Amino acid sequence: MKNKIHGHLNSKLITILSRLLQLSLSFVILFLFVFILLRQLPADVSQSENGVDSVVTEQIKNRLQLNDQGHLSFAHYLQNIVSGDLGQSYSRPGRSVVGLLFDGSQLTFVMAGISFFISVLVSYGLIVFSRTVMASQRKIMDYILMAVSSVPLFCLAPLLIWYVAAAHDYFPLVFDGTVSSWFLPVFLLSLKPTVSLARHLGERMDAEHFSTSNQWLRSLGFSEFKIVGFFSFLKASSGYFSQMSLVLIHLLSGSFFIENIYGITGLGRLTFESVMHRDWPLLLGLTLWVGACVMLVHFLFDMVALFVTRNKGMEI
Amino acid sequence: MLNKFCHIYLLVFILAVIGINFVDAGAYTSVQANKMMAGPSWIAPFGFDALGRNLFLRTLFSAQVSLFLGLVSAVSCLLFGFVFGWTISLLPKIAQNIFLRFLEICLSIPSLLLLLVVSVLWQEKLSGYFSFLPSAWQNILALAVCLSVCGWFSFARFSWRVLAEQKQMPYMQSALVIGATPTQMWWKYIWPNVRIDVMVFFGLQIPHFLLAEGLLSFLGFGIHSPQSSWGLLFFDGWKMITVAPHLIVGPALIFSVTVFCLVYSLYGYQKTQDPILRWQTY
Repeated sequence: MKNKIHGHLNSKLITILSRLLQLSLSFVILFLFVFILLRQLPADVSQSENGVDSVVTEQIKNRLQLNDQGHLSFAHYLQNIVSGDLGQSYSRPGRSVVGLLFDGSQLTFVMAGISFFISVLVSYGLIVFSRTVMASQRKIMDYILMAVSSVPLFCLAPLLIWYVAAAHDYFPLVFDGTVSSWFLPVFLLSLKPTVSLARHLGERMDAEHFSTSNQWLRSLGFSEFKIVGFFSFLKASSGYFSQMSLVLIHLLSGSFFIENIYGITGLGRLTFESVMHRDWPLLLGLTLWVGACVMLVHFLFDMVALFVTRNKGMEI
Repeated sequence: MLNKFCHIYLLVFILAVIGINFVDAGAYTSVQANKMMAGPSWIAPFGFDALGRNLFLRTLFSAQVSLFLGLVSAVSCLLFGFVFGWTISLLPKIAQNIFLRFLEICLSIPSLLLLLVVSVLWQEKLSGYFSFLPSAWQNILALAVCLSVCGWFSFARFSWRVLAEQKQMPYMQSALVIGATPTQMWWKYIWPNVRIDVMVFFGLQIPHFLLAEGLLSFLGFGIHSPQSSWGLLFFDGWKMITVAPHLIVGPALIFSVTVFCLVYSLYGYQKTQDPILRWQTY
């Protein structure tokens, strides 16, 4: 038994190390991807500055070292990233891209975090409720979830805002940081991830519903609530964790849209403004930052799934 | 019952979208000052827009552009993504890992951000490549290319997964033992087993691209006036939401019902065609 536990821990250690190696490789490929966007594509930043004097474009090229050979330019780019220098913003003179990203990230991450926890809790509650209390009508819940997932956020958000405006004689488009002003953005942001998580969890739990182990538990007298809410959930949890990390990408995409509607000064608003003002360093910095954050979150969820989910090797 | 409703709705909707070409174009293109933002009526179930155009007919007309975009982007993703996924499934393990990491990175960047970057950087350049086409189609095709560029990763990863799964199946070993050639293995054993999944995934890409186009146009980076698409209608409706909320309700309803019916029909098709799912259903 001692050998088995040691073997099990070793295999986990190997998994963590290989995942770390993959993560660092992924970071390098991400940097390369953004560098190619910056340099090689028809959208070479210096060419894209329409109507700008050739002296200015030459200055941009010199600053980004686009005239150097590819590998030298990439090395310089990597060096800048490592030292935390992503350049200066075009649209906000005097502000560094890193500073803007740091300021914008705070609100976006808080909002995405709150929405994420709401999504996880509500999706779990919905599925357990539909599989226990209203088990005979669980198809209805599935249809509702599918219907909600079909309604796009950009249709739902205006309709909800209009409904609130009509019902309460107040137009809820002002985000002033008060608790009540958080309600509608967070609700809209968490709606789609909740549905996505619930549908995924529902499918996984349904596959386990009549499994041999569940039948054994039923014969031992465990309540359906405990079987569905605990044992089936544990078995479905490995897929649930990977779905959670995918949902975070939806949350970030959703926050870009919600922040533009409400004028919240987060990463989404920054993206929108950088696109409007053709602020290339900021836009590429955003791509790099968001991509890196998402990959890091994927890694963390993989690690949590590795330790939380049950492993057959331990069943001695 | 719901499946039948979805099929009938999609059939009627497609006929209506084709049939709009036979209706007098003046009803949804010409400005009528006396009907500006008028509410719903029997002639115009969704009311009239800010320029007095029939919104119901305009929604159907816009569907032509949106569905065309969705279909073209999905087909190009199918071609490129499937070939890419199929190719990497044939490579050695280490090469597979490198390509998969690349796909993971592309998938880890939020699609809206990537779409914004690509469309802003490329759309104008790409429109220039289609200069031999009528000006109305240049922007649409450029947007279709942008959508495809940002959307093929998921198809490639999906194709790789289903093909890699099939390669591990015991029947592949049996096929090797009985001396099947690579062509036979592909056409006789692998393709019949992955066909349904690939077709359903392809179908699900159409609503995905409809949503992407809608969102992009809603933010003002997709289709521009005088062309029309569903996203542009939402954008126009959003600007007028305090004065005339019906401008967004009608198009949103049609859009949501169409996406729901498309998704539900595809899942229904998968359930009836896939042998394992069919067995589970009974």
